[in-house]
Amino acid sequence: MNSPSAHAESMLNNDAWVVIPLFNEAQVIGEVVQGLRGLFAQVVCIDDGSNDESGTIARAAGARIVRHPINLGQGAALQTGFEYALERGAHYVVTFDADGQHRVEDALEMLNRARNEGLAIVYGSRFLDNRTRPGLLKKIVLKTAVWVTNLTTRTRLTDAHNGLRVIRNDALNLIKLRQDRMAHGTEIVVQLGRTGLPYAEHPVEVIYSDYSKAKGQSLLNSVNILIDLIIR
Amino acid sequence: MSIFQLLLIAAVIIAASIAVRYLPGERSLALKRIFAISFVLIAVLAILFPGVLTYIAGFFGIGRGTDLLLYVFIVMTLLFAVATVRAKARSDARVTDLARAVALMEARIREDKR
Repeated sequence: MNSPSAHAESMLNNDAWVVIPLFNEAQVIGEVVQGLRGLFAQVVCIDDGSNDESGTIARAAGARIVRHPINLGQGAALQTGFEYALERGAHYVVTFDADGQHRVEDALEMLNRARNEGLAIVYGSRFLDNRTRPGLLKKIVLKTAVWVTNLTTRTRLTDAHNGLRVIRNDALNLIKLRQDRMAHGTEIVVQLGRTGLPYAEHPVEVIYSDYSKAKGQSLLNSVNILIDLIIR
Repeated sequence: MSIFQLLLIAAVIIAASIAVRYLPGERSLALKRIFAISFVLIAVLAILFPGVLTYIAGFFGIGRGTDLLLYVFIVMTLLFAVATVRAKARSDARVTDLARAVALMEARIREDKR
């Protein structure tokens, strides 16, 4: 008899939905979706009111599209994706960034780990091994975000604002993201921590291409994140 | 009573009635109306008897009535700012829920057609 994970894998991970918040990434989204479709049958892009061709390109590459009529922010897009996937009976949701900074192999490893170890949440962390080389400034910002997150939650993580996560449906049912903008990285940890469900961190590589570096969060934006978290 | 005092009283009553008419929220409506009426009464009294303000200011150890007025004005402005920010956050949350509902509904309709 096949183990449940081998069975699910043979069906292209039909029990898992990849949720991609998408905002003006026309240059790279096609490649990202194609890369995922090799291993995941269900890929949904939440087009957050893009004003370029991102949605059309993602659909052509084989993703389903849910389109926000207006731009709401990445946190809102994630929450929409969670509700969409749950409506369609998802057992796991994989959150994935649209700008091509994550590796599909990492996502698959995390999903298999969630299945095999019975974990409700697997967080990707770029600081568990030394594959990822962020700049010093970026490292300081990220480590500050982790510090604040660990301070305000019962969860102990090494990387807070990493877009690659695997979340099981029982955990998804218990959370509702209210931080529309970028502070959801911490909010999602806060809310998932409250569920008390088993979690783990998994080492992933974050690929800093010239493209993602140019689009990445600025230092000033981390000020926004902190203030968004304090004033709710 | 000087003409200026009459004008001020008229302005206060007009401002309060507009506020009462256009402030949203059923639950706190009565409270807001009571607040507006008492605001009118206090304002009219302060306009008619400016000496009373100075007397109250002296009681709190401030000195001049105009200073008391300034302090109250600053506090009220801050309260107003906080109330506005909170109201905007609530309204933003509603817009998010609405936009999400529209997006999910549109996706359902499109997938049914296929």
